[in-house]
Amino acid sequence: MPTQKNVELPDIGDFDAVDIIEVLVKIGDTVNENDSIITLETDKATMEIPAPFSGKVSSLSVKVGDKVAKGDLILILESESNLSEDIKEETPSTEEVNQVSEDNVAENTLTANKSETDHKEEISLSSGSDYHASPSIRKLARELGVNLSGINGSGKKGRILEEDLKSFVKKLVTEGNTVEEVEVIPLSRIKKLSGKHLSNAWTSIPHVTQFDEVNIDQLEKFRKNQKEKNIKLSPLVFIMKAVVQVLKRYPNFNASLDESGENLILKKYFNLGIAVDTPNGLVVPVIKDVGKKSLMELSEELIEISERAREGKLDSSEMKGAGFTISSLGGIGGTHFTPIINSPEVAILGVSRTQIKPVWNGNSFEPSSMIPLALSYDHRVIDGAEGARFMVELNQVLRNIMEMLL
Amino acid sequence: MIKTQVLVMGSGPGGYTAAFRAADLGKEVTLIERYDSLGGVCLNVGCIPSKSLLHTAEVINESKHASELGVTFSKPKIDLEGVKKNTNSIVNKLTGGIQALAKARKVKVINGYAKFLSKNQVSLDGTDEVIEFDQCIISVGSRVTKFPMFPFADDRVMDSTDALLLDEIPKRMLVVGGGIIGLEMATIYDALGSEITIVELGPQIIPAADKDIVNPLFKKAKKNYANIFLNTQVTSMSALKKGIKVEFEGKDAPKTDTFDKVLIAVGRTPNGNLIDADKAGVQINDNGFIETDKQMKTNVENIFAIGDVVGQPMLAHKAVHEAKVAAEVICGQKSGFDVLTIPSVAYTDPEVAWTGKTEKELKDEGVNFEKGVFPWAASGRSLSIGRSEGVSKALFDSKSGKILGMGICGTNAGDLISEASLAIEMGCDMSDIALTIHAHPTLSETTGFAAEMAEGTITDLMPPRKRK
Repeated sequence: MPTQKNVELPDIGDFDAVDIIEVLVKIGDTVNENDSIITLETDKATMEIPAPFSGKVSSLSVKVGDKVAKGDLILILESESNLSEDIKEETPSTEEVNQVSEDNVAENTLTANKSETDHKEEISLSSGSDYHASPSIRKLARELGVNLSGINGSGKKGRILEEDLKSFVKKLVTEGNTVEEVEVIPLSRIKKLSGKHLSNAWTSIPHVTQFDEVNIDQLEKFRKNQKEKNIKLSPLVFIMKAVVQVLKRYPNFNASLDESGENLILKKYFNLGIAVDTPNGLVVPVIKDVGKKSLMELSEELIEISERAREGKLDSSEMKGAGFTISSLGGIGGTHFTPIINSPEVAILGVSRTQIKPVWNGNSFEPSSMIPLALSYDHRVIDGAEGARFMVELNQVLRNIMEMLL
Repeated sequence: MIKTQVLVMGSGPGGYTAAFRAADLGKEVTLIERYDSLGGVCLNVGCIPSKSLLHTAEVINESKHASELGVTFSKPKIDLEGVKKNTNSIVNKLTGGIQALAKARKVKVINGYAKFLSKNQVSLDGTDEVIEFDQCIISVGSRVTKFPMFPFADDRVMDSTDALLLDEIPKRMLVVGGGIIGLEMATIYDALGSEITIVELGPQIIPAADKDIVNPLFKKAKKNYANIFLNTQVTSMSALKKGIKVEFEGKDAPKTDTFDKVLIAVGRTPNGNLIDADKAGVQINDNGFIETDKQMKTNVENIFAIGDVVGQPMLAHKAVHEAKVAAEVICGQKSGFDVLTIPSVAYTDPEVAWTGKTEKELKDEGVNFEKGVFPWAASGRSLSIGRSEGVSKALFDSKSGKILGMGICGTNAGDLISEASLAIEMGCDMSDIALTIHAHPTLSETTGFAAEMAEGTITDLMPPRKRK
């Protein structure tokens, strides 16, 4: 419902009959708050009278030449229906007041937001120069051959200062002026999520990374024999088995730190997170009860879950509940890397590519398959000595695969 | 054959500035002027003599109103020769000064009318003299447009140059054109005793300025002059024995009237097509202007152009800044004409001045703006000098508060407007101006008050909207 509201002459000072010399609106015009509606002239000055609110002029009560005084009706404005609550004349009952005022708050907020957006558009339309620089800065820019529109000013309201100009030029000098082609692509959803998690882990956990290389000649020999029987086992499943073996002796590594950072939560189960590379980014599915599963079972499960991970078909429950994580880049290459702990876990094992290296056996150098391992641990939970012991023990188990049976 | 590094054609404010700046930066400069006296239209038949005569008019008008101050002067006796002598002595002082400055800078001044022979040569019209130059700055200005419908052949039909000669004070004078020049001349002749009628084609006098800024002047002029016909066209003009008969077409104007003298103050034409520019290959557009880039270079690499001949507004202060740019670019500096505002001033009584955007420009461009309007009726200083009609209006961006423009009508408005021009160039906000202490009581205070009106912090008046 549109509402009609009278616009009367406000108090303009000590005058009782003032000439109207101009009527700036006509019936049907839409006026905004503070738009001038009439011009008055006293013997001293002329003044424009602004509209006290927005609306459409539905009737005009004055014309040029009329004399008006405070309180005289100038015109009637028809307000938009959605604002009608604002200017309701009658006093509502107390019960209504609450409701009305709440409604008003919502409406006012909406209107405010709207006008702000409108405003922004008009500004960007209105002027070509969206920066300000004083004449002396413009002169300096001309001398330096710099286009000021490309500079973000650090001064008040984006004003370009001499320092801005200088640092811009310095940057050009150090980084070169060649405009290399770039493309902006948004990160995948997985990268955006894991990125937050990773940077949080990286900045909040004091990481220590312990390196070692393990002679896996025995393991490799065993794998080769199995392969001849058409049983394919990756080194990773052995590592998983060995890790569980060692975790049993070092329960602090199969744990998480609670949110307060004061309590360690030891896991009585042996679930391992396995980092999997997928086209959309890193995911970490969890293999449960690794200790209870055979090498064959682990191998099959690993193949199956990795496949589903790459297809993006993992259920979120399949990525929860690990006590320790392994990240293997052995299939790709590289010697060593420092894995980031998958918090709230407290340790992670990074596995790199096996290389044949000469190893001194006491008499001679012997070509041996050496696998590089990197153990990152949370130093708040695990001491250096404990970390080293864990690594030595893991080395031991992997070197003598029979120990996995213990 | 004379050889020079830099040749400057025309010695108006643009020309002599360009010549002097180039000389100061180490160039060997030759300045050519077709008239005997340096300084161009501005010094000889424009800004300066008109201001001298406007001062005379002001003294006459002030003496008339002195009785309100309790001082009575007898009716002034006007000695036209004396008035002219004073004006000439001011003009001579200034043009002589330029001559001396040229000599001090070793700028070679040649009197003559130069026309291009090629992109490196000009000849002096009527002589065999050829001047060869490396670079040239064209600053040949503009001239009064002689519309054929006006019988200029009759002495009683004047252009502004004729009017400044003050040959006689006509009883009834018509001013065609309610722009700055017409109104200034009307002010002079009114003070000297002529009965003035102004005819203007547009809906307001000084059409470029906002109506509310022109209004105090309009009201005063309307009271003092016989008539101001707006929205009125002069359809014919004929020289009769008893006067100049003029036919009008307009709502308020009579069909016809006869005047003792008529001043034509409509339009100036750039002089670009009077110098054989085509022989140098310099292009002139359909309006007669020579187009340049921001470094004042024409389409010919070594030829620059500045001032009235390159475009509107035809103002000496614009020419002077362009002149420096041209001279500096010739001397290897990376100068450019990239100002944010060129102020305009009508030296009428009261003066009208504006800078930056006008309110109507902002409305046309759809910019959201706020304005602060301060009526001088509330200025103690303005009232003290017996004037209450002025107004100062400042326009600000409603989002950032940055000043976008200013218009002032009142005594010394032309001097007051510079603060706003500086504010625009420096990107000042409403509060920068409002919080700057303006000395009290001064007319310049009104600029601070206008900003306070916009901010709502004014105390000398009721603030128009809620205090911030």
